[in-house]
Order: sequence, then C-alpha cells, then structure tokens
Amino acid sequence: MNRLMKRLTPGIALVLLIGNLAGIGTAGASGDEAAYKMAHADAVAALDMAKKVGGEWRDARWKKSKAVKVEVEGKTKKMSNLAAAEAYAKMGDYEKATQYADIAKFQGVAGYQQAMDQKNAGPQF
Amino acid sequence: MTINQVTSRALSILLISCISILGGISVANADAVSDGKKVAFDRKKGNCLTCHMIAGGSLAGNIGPPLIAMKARFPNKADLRAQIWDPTHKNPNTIMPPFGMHRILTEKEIDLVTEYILSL
Amino acid sequence: MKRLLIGAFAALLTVGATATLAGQSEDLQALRDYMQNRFPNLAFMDYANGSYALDAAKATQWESQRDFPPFLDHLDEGEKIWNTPFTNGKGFSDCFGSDPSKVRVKYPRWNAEAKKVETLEGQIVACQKANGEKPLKTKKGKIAYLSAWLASQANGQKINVIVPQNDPGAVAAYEAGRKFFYTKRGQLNMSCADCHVYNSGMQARGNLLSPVIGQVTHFPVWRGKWARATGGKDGFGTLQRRYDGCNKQVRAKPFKNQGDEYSNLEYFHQSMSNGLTIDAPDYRE
Repeated sequence: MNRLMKRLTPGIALVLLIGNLAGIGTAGASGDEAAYKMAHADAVAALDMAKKVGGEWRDARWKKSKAVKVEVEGKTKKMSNLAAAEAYAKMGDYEKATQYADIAKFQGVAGYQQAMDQKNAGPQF
Repeated sequence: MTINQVTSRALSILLISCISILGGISVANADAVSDGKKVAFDRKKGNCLTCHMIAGGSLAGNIGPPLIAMKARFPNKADLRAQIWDPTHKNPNTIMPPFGMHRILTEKEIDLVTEYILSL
Repeated sequence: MKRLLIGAFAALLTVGATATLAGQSEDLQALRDYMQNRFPNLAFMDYANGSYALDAAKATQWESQRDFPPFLDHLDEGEKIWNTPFTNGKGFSDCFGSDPSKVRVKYPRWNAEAKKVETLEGQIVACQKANGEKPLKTKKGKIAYLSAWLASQANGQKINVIVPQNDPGAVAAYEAGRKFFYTKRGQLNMSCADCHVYNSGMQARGNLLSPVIGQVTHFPVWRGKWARATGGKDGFGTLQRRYDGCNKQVRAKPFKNQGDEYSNLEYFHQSMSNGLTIDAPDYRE
C-alpha cells in the first residue's frame, strides 16, 4: 500500500459511512415497496378523514402545492408531499417515497385532530 | 470535488466534532446560536420576524412581544423550548403556530432556535 | 305523561336556543363593542378605510394612489360586459334587473328555495349558465371587472346583509360562516379572527392587519400584490379570491371557490360590515 492510499483509506471509509447514514449509499436500491404501499394507503385514509371535517392542510396532497421539490426526468418539479411520495415510488426509490407518504399521513392526522379541537370555535370576547 | 478535498473535508468535520465534544459546550453553542438564527429568520421556517422584534432583524412585526432578555423570561431552557414547540398548550387562543407539534420545524431546528432565542 | 313531554320539549327548545348562541345582531354588537374598545378613536364609518384609517403615513400614500386609479379601463370593460347581450339575445339585466346600481347591495343573500347562500359572483355565473353562456371563472379577470363595476354603481349605499332569523337554513348558513371565521386551520394553526379581530391594527412585518369590520366595502379590490404579479396589468380579485389566499397563507388547503364553505363565510363576513358605506373598487396593498 503506498502512502497516498494510506492517507485516503480512513477518509474513504468515513465518506462511505456518512453516505450510508445520509441514504446516498442506497441510491439505486429500491427500499421496501410493501412498506411504501402501506404508508401510502395510511396517508390517503388519514387525509380522507381530515377532508371530511374540512381540516386538510395545504401541502399534504393539494395538487397546486409547491412544498416539495422533486427531480423528475432531469426537471425540478414542485408538488405536495403525497405527490412527492408517488413520484419517488415511480422512480423506484421506495425509501424516499415512504418518507413523504409518512409526512402526508402525519398532516392528515394532525389536520383531523385540529378540526376536532376546533369543534366549538367561536368568538373569545 | 476531488477525493483529496473530500478527505480533508471529512477530516475537518471529524476534527470539529472532536473539538466540540472535548473542548466543551461553548464552541457547539456558538454554532447552534448562529444556525438557530438562520432558522429563526428564514421566512419558510421560523419566520419569527413576522411577529417579533429581534435585534439585527429588519421589518419586524409587533404581534408578539419583542424577543429581548430571554434568559430572564425563561430561566429554564425546557420551558422556552416547550413554548416554541406548542404555544397553544399554555394559551389555546394564541396566534403563534405550534412549530413542533405541527412539524413546521424539525426537532433539531427547534433545539437550534431555542439556543438562539435564549441568547437574545 | 303529557306534562312530562311538554317539559322535555320545552327543555329541548331552550337547548336549541342556546346552541344557536347569539344571533346576527348580537354578534354585530359584540364585535363592534370589541373593536370600539380596541380603537377608541376610530369613528364607525372610518372602518371602511381599513388599515389606512389606523396608519397616517400609509393613508397619505394611499390617497395619492387614489388620485390615479389604476383600474379605470377594467371598470369600462366591466360595464361593457354588463351591456353585451348573450347569444340568445338576453342579457345580465334579465337576471339582475335593469338598474345596475341596485345589484351589489342585494348580495350575499339567502335563497330559501335552493337553501343556499347566493353571492354576486355566484349569481353572475348562474345567470350565464341559465342562458347557455360559458361561465366566467370566479376569482379574477372578467368576473372581477363586472362585479367591480356593479359595486361602483352602488357607491354610497350601505352594506345590509339580512339573515332571516325565522329560516333555520339561513341561520345555519350564517352560523357555519361564523364558525369558519373563528376556526384555527392549516399547519400554522390560525383563524381569520386571529389576525382580523384579536390582532387587528398590529403589524405582521410591514403589513397592518385590518379589522374585520369594513373589509368588504371596497371589494372586488385592486391589490398592489396581485397587480405586481401581473406586471401591473391586473390587480383585481373577488372576495373569495382573497379567502383562497388567506387559507394558503396559513397552509390550509383552500376550499372550492363559490362552494358552500366560502359562500357561508361570505354571508357572515359581509354582514359584519352592515351599516358601512360601499366605496368600490379601491386600492389595497
């Protein structure tokens, strides 16, 4: 092993470690499709409940939302969290897809809860 | 970025984390305060200036109280963090958004903002 | 037994009465008292000037804006739209009556047969559909020109939204609008009232939050913000376009324009300006 390699080896190991932690190392790998499908179904169910009580948030699944930037075929597109989940799933990146589906689900649950908390809203004076 | 640059950057990250771990809280805290300020001033994140006057911020609103002497107002850091996380807990009618409960900011970002606000 | 039933019925009635809470006139009085307390020096008629009644420096800018209204051509176009016959030979006057100065003040109003709140823009679209015309979009553009021109014809008349208290449907629509106004929503967890009641007169960055009373007298409005987005060409928008924008700002999903949620809100919202003079269209930031 030459001196240069000796110097580089720990660095490369570190980069690989960081890459793995950041999810870079899994690029190309698919993640878990079944887990994504479940997260997506959960998100839709939560958002439908929020919708029923008028509690949907802007960036969960509204088609005009610009909350998440996604690279689709070389172009940057802005979309809702659920749309981002679907876009990543289409590209086979189920790990990211699941992350965004989980955000959409959280927003559905929280929007529903908020509407319930506000059931008796009225003037406070 | 060449491999050499990557290596040196990785090493410097390692070095900085070592210093902040070994060298005590002050370095890490200074970073947290300046990172927290960025989150606080970002219009898509904390956007605190919409409602609060903060030294060094321009075009501040006056809906909430000016953010000064915060250590005196919140001797306990956890109380300030809780107030940012969900101000409706103390006052259900407040106009202040629940930054943590509604995940407007991440938990990490709330830690940073707390450090920054406490430094005011 | 009979007595018991009557007693139960009476109890039910009382519950019903408290559940509907205060009616329109009580709401109006409570809100006026609250605002009077908040702005002791503001005369009632001056609420029609919104934030400018509360900020002398901005009022000066605003008055110089008013010397050169940017919307005169759009008003002319609105008048032209009113006078252009439909392909079937009929026109807007067949729906709204021949006197354009009497249209604005009729809306919003309760339609007891359809069991719905009718708004001016909603009725413009309904009139077009009934006559086989392609309906206008309801947030901006031609509908705002026409609605603004009709409002300008009504200048000097007073807002007077009536909620027939003997019609449970009308009362329910008003209550739904009132509830919408006071409900926190969206990721930022804010209600209309959070800004325009409890924090009215305060500054959100450089913007002074206008009191809810007086907000509707100058609609459709020409907003500087909307004008800038079109390179200065068209700043007009309807009241429900503004609702859409407010909901987006608090990160709530906006509701359907001219749907029940916004039309009920408009029923409540406009009625809170009852007694104020129409002065439309006008410039706002």
